[in-house]
Formats: sequence, C-alpha cells, structure tokens
Amino acid sequence: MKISTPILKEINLALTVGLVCLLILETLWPGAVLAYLNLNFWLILWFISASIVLLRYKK
Amino acid sequence: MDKQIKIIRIIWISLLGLIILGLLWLNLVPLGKMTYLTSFENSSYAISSLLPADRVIKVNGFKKIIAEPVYFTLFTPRAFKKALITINFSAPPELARFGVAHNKKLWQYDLKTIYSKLDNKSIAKKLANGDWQVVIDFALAKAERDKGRYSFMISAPALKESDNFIIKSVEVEFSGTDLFSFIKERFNL
Repeated sequence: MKISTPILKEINLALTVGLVCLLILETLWPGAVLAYLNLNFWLILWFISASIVLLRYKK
Repeated sequence: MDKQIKIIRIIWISLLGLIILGLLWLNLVPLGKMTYLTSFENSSYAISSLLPADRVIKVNGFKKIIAEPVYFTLFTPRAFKKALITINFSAPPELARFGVAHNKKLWQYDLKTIYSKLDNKSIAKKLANGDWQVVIDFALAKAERDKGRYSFMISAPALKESDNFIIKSVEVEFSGTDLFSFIKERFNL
C-alpha cells in the first residue's frame, strides 16, 4: 500500500505541530510531558515521515 | 483543500487536543490523588530505579537489595499532603526501615521501622504466598520535593550477604487538596 504524498505531508505536519506543542508545554512546565510520554518515539516517527517526504520530492 | 486531507487534519488536531487535555488533567491532578505502582524493573522520568545501582541486583525480574541504604525518587506534578505507601517484599532483614527525605543535604529522613522480629515492632504482615506487606502513612508537609521529586529510602542496617531481601512492588498513593482548594490556597483566595 502506497500512501500518497499529500497524506504523508499531512502526517508529517501533524507530527511536527504535535512535537512543537509538547516541547513548548515541557519547557513551560518541566516534567508535564516527559513524566507521561516518551518523546523519543515521537521524534523517530517525525524523522521517518520527514525522510519519506523528502525522498518523494527528490524523485 | 482535498476532502480526504481535511478529514485527516480534523482527526489529528482533535487527537492532539485530546493528548494536551489529558496531560493537563494528569498534571493538575484535579481530584487531589495520584498513585504510582512499580516493581523497579525499568526506570522512567517519573519513577527512578533503586539507586545506587551497585547495591541492587536483578532476581527473577525483581530487585534484590544486597547493600543498604537504597533510594528512589518519584516525580509529582505538584506537592501533596500525604503518601500512603504499600510495599511488598520478601525475607526482610532485621530492622528494615522505609522513609521519606526531609532534607537530603543534612541526611534527614523520616524513617519508619517496617520489620523487627526482636522488639516486636514489626508493622509488616506476612501474606499467604510467603511475601511480606507493609502499609505506611507519611505526612509530606516537611518532606523535601526537589525539582518535583520526592525522595524515599529503604534501609536495613542489619542486612547480611545471605539475606534475600527482594522488593516485589511499591505502591505510593499521594493525596492532597483537590484543584479548587489548591488554587484557593496558592492565591490566598
């Protein structure tokens, strides 16, 4: 199953906005996010989605 | 905008909103109670492992204390008034004690003896499966909360190499004021 580029871009946008929101919350309120969520996995997913979007554009 | 993209956008914005609302709920602790349950198998941001690491070894997925004292910390999003602690352990050595830090720099801990066979002061009870359980109540008014973390100590001065003092689980139920009273207290309303 191949996901279309606009959907991939939307997934990447969702992960980017989510990551930024959570990082802002963690900065303002230390421990508020990291105590409950592991942002490493979020960052890995974001990196994978961004890499796929970039590779699609390269082609 | 493509209809499909629009639906996906609505879904992810809703999901993100739910995650942020959930985090706010967890951090504000509106009901004034939160509970941690751990067997110290893995450490996390909220629950540390038993430290120092060279004083514990892993036995069947649990932590066996081979030297004392050992410490752990628990992160709480805000201060609490009381902590009800339930510890399950096996083969406690004489004078096993558990406590909460009042001042770590001055080495001040509010320690309570959980097991003492000699002077009959044991508050631990033997369970049907052979393990021991103790339920202790701590007032946290004087407890030190360093960077959002309460520090706890498990001490057993009479611990011997042959002892099999294994911590099976620790459950900590923090209780304090509900959110409304907390705001009233904080802002002197």
